[in-house]
Formats: sequence, C-alpha cells, structure tokens
Amino acid sequence: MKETFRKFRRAAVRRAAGFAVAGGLCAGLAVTGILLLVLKLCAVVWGWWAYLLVGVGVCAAVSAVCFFLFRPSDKELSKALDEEFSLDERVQTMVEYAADDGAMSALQREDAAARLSAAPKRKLPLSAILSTAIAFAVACALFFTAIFVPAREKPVPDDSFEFDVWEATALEQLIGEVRESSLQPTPKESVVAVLEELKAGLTDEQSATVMRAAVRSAAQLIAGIATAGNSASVFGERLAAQETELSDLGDAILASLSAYRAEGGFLSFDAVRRREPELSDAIAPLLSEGTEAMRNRLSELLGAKFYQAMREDSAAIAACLQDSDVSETDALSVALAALSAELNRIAGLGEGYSLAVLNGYAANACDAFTAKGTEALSVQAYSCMMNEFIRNRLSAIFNVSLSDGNSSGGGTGGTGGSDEEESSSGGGGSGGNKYGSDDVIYDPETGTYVPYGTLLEKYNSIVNELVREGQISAEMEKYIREYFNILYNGFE
Amino acid sequence: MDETEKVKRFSEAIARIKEQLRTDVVGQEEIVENVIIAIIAGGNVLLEGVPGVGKTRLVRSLGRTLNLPFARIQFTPDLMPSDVTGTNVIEKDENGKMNVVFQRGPIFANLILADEINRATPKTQSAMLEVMQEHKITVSNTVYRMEEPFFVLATENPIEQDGTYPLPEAQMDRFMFKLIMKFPSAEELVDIINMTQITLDENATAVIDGETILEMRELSKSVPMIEDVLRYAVNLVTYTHPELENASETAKKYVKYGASPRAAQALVTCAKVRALMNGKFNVSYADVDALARPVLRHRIKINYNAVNDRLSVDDVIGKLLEENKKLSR
Repeated sequence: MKETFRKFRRAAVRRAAGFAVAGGLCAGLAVTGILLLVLKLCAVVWGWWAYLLVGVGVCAAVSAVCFFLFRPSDKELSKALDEEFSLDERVQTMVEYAADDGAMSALQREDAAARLSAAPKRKLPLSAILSTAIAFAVACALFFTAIFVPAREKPVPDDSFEFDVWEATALEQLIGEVRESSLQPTPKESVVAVLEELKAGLTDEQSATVMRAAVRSAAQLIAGIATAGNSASVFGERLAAQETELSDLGDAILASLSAYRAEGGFLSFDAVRRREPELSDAIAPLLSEGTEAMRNRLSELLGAKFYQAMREDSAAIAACLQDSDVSETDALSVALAALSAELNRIAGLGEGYSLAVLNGYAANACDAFTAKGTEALSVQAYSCMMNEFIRNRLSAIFNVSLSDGNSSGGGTGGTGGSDEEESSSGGGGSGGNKYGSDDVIYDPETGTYVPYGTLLEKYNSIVNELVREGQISAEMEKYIREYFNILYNGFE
Repeated sequence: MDETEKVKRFSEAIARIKEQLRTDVVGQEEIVENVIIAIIAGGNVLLEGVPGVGKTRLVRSLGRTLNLPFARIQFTPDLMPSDVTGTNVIEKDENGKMNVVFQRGPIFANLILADEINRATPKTQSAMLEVMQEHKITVSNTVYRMEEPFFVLATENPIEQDGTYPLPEAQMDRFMFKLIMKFPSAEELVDIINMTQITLDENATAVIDGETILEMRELSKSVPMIEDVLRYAVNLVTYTHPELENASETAKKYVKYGASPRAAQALVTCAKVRALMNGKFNVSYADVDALARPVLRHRIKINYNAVNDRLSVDDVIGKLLEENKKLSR
C-alpha cells in the first residue's frame, strides 16, 4: 500500500480516535449526570468515587465501541478520499488491487498515489465539529445541572403511635396520683384536666411526632399551672439582687423551692409523699440562715445607725414587694410585708429601749418571718416538686424528652417509635445516666415505675430462657447477648 | 514493450486518430469518441441520423485513419444476402476448365458502412447481422473468417419509415452502441461548408493500423475495475427490467422490456476503453454513466406511460441513472 495512503489512513485513525474520545466523554458526562440526578431525586447517596467509576467506565466503553464502529476501513477511507478530492475511484482501485501484480494495476497505483500526494490536507467537516461541540455542551449542561440540583431529603419515616394499655394505665395512674397529691385545689383541678385531655387526645392512632408534641405541650401547661402562684422566685430574685445582707434572704427563699431535692434520687410519687412533710424542716433552716446575716449586722450597730439600718432593711423589703404581679394575699408576700412592718416599727421605738431589747425584737421578727415564710414556701416548693414529678412521669411513660434542666432523663417505657430528639438510652448513657441507676421502667406486675436495674435480672432471665428454648435465631442471639452486656456494664 | 509504453502508445494513438478525424468531420466529438471506443472494444455501432450529417464520411475517414479497408453497402429492399456476403461463381480458368470460385462480397473489409440497414429485407439483415456477431460467414459449407479488426457501422434513416424493415430487438442487441448523429449547429455547418467548398475528398491520413487496434483492445481488457463500479454497471442493467424484484421505480413505470446481459458486457468493456482513452488507469462511475445511453437506448423498450409523459428513451435512461446513483453508490 502506498505510503501516501498510509498517511491518510493514520490521520483517519487519529480522527476516529478523537471523535471516539469526544463521544465517550460526552456519554460519560451525560450518564454520570443522569445517574446523579436520578439518585438525588430518589434521596440515595453515593460516594464521589462511585460516580467517577461509572463515568470513567462509560467513557471508556463508549470510546472503544465508537472507535471500532466508526474507524474507517481501507475501503471506506479510499471511498471518502475519492469523493472528497474527485479522484474518480482511483484510490478505491488502488486499495482493491493492492495485491495485484499486473502491470496495469501497478501503473494505476502509481497514478493514484501521485494524485493523492497532490491532494490538499483533509479538513474536519464543520458539521462533525458542530455536532460534537453541541453534544459536549449538552452533556456538560446535564452533568453540572445534576451537581447543583439539591438532593431531595429522605423523608423521615413517621412512626405511627398506638396509645395502648401500657400508656393508658400509666397515665391513669398519674392522674390518680395528682388527685391524691397536696396540690392546692385550683391548680390540682387544672393539672388533672390537662392530663385527662392529653389522655383523650392520644386514644386515636397518631403519629409519634404528634404524640410527642402533645406530651410536651401538656408538660408545659402543667408547669405553668403548678408554678402559677410561685412568688418565691419573684421576691427571692429581687432580694438576692440587693447589695446588702438581704441578698442572703433572697438566696434562701430561692433555695427553698428546690429544698425537696435535698435527698437526691429519682422523684417518684412515693418520694413526693415521703418528702412532703419534710419540706418545712428543710426550708426553715434555710430561711433562718437567710435572716441571720441581717440580724448579725443589726446587732453590731449602735444608736442611730441601728435605727437607720433597720429602716433601710424595712424599706428594701417593702420595695421588693412593690410593682409585682403577686397578689397581696400571697402568703410569702404577707410574711415579707409583716417583716418589713415589724422592722419599721422597731426602728420607730426611739431611745427608750436598749439595744438588747431591740435586737431581741428584731430576732423575733425574723423568727416570725421564718415561721410564716416556711409555711408559704413549703406550699410553693411542693408545687415545684409535683411539677417535676409529673414531668418525669410523662417522660417515662411516653419516652419523650422533657428536660428543662430540672428533671432527670426519661427512662424506657411505652411503645413510641424511635425519635432522634429523645435522650439516648444506650449503654454508657447520655447525661451521665447509667442503666439501673436513674432510669426507670414500668413494671406491669406491680403497676409502678421502678428503677431499671430491679427488672434487668428478670428481663435477662426471661430472654435467656427463650434463647435456650430455641425461639430466637442464632443471629439474633448474638445481638441480644451484646445488648445485655452493654446494659450490665452500664449498670455497674 | 512494457505496459507503460503500451499505455503511452495507446494515448498517443487515440490523440492522433481524433486529430485526423477532425480534419474530415466537423463537430460530433461525442460520436467520434464513441465510435473509436466501439472499434477498440470490438463492437459494432448503429448510427441514426438524417441524411447528410456525415455518417458515410465519418466511416470512410475512419478507414483512412486506421489504414483499414473500407466498404460501403447501400441496403435496399432488393438487396440479397449474397450481395453482401459474396457467392460462388463458375469461372473458366486459363485452361478452359470450369471452376467454382467464391466471389467475395463487400463484407470482406475491415470497416463496413451498412447504410440504411432497415431498408433491407429481414433475410438480408440476418446475413449481415450474422457476420457482425460471429465475424465469419459460411457459404457452401465453407467458413470464411473476417479479418480483424472487423467493424460494422450501420445506419438508420429516422425520417423515411415507409417500406422499411425495422430491426427486431434481438438483432438490435448485437450492436454495442446506438449513436444519434444530430444536425450540426450553425457554426459547425459554416465550417462544413467552408471545408467542402475546398474539396469533398477526405483529408485524413493513416496514423495506426489494424494490429495496433488489436493491441489496444488487449490492453484495455487489463484496466482494473473495482467491485463497486462493476456492481454499479450490473445494477444499471438489472434495474431496467420491470419484472425483476429489484427493478427501479422508473422501470416499473416506463419500461416494457429491459436490456440484455450483452448490455452489461458492453458497459464494462467500453468503460475500460473509455477510462484508458481519458488517461486513467481505472474505470470510474463517470465512465459507466457516460456510456449508459449509447449502450441502453436501443436495448430498452419504453411503454405507453413514457410516451404519454413525453419521455424519450434517453430521458428514461437519465432517470434510471439517477436512481442507480442513489441505490448503488
């Protein structure tokens, strides 16, 4: 075959390779783009390497196929050359008779080669260039559109919620405990009403999301109701903000509200009932300590300074009572008002009394305040305690996190679906919880909520029995053993 | 002599022949070229033209140029076959003995002008056509071969059809070409008059001989022809048959009878000669297209649809060529 023709053949092969690569590239980009778009719309995530693999694979495959399909054979190339350069089938004849050793064929080959040598360099047809460019542009557009289209988020399966006997019984029990409690009548009725409404609302099958929202709403309502008459935080904060010894009194009042937590541990109804009578014993010393600084200061003052200090304390206390939403008949407000009035009266007694007597009057006034304040604060502390108790119980029943920094984490209970917002109940626990220590679970045998650790052994033995009876598959047995290992390790 | 020399001689010979013929024949370049092709290819030509366009002059001039004996046979209705081929006569030799001697007829020449062949009777036509095909005659069981190259140029007068015997299709098929000699243009007529005012004699001189013609014939057979071009030529002939499966739409609509296999042979043989004449060493599609009308116009019978659509046989061949280009290339 003449070198001239070979030169054209090499150029044709290069051209075919170029178009094949371009075609492969377009196909790779297009397929990758389409795949990316489809997976994004289906909320399926692949790693970048997977797309790279697909794109490169498609590019290579299409390039190879295109090259072998469109690489011109000698016959096709010779035909193209004859047509392009108007050579009257000279090149085709040269190729077809390449092996013929006749003299005429040899002359023909010489003639064809000479004509081909004189032919200009082949140009790429504009239509081919345009169509390749258009295809590449379309492929790039597809690819980059797929990149910048936002992925559809996988819809979070909304587990359905069934308000079964378990939760109904527990909620009914809670309502009964609230009725039994020593809450003031008005807030008690309101809390019971909220719980009844919650129970009625959850009887129909609903989504877990709706259930959680309802429970949180109920807890918030109950918190508002239980702490509606909470004047301690108002006056306590005002007094604590004073720059005198009265700040101790303010701190003492505030501390009284959480006096029920002195024991620590989980707040069950039994704990509430046990701690109720102990509240006053816990609060009285706090208030007594709160007034001690004031008394000590007064006892160190003489003459006019004594009276002045007395009047200042009286005025400060009176000022704290002003401009608040608290009713004047509020017990704590009355106690503080009485203290203020008494200090003012003592300050107005004049010089006919000795300091010892006056200090004694002041001490009496403080003691009186302590007694009345303790009574008032006991009621308010009880409300706070009940609020915390109800919150914990609701959290435990419905496995809903209701923590506001004041309550412990929820335990297991109920049949609500998994919730990403829920406090973790895994081994090691979040918030420092350990299984069997702070977490509780509903014990159907006793109908009460008990620490998880007391039921763990029973739970484990039942499961082990089922395993021994072969009712659990070998694969599941592995997971069950691991589960209890985690629980026990956390339990310790 | 190697092939290169032969090809060179071929080209030079063709150029000299054309140059000589131009001295006697004004215009008619295509006719001259096709006649030369037919001679080299070994075929015969049927020439159609009105009287006075130079048919006889062309053949006579060709005979002078090729240095070949020329004979003109004027066909008339009373012409007998023996008037063409020759006959046995009884002659007295010098000893007075009576011998039967074969008196050769005018057919025993290399170049024959069979003028107005359609005026002869079918019997005489057959005698003529037999020798055209086989290049031999048989008289009284004796076979007489014609000297090669043997070429017959027959003419038909398209005007006077009364009292004529049109050649049957089977006989027409024996002619390699049918050429139509048109009336010369005004400029050509001026040149003819100027030339013939000087002399009516042919001026062409011999430039080659019969042996060279035969060499050229052998040489042309070795011109390569690719498969695609061969199929192109073959398809052109098969597309003329409306009864075939792969018949063209044109043939189905306008053709009554298609061309014979001789048409395909003629196309291929003459295409090779034409390629070599034009300085090419291979046959191209253009060569086949250029020879399509001369080869096919007397071999195809058009039907009434073509007549109704005012299409001549050449028009129909033109349509066939267009279809063949689309389908075969």
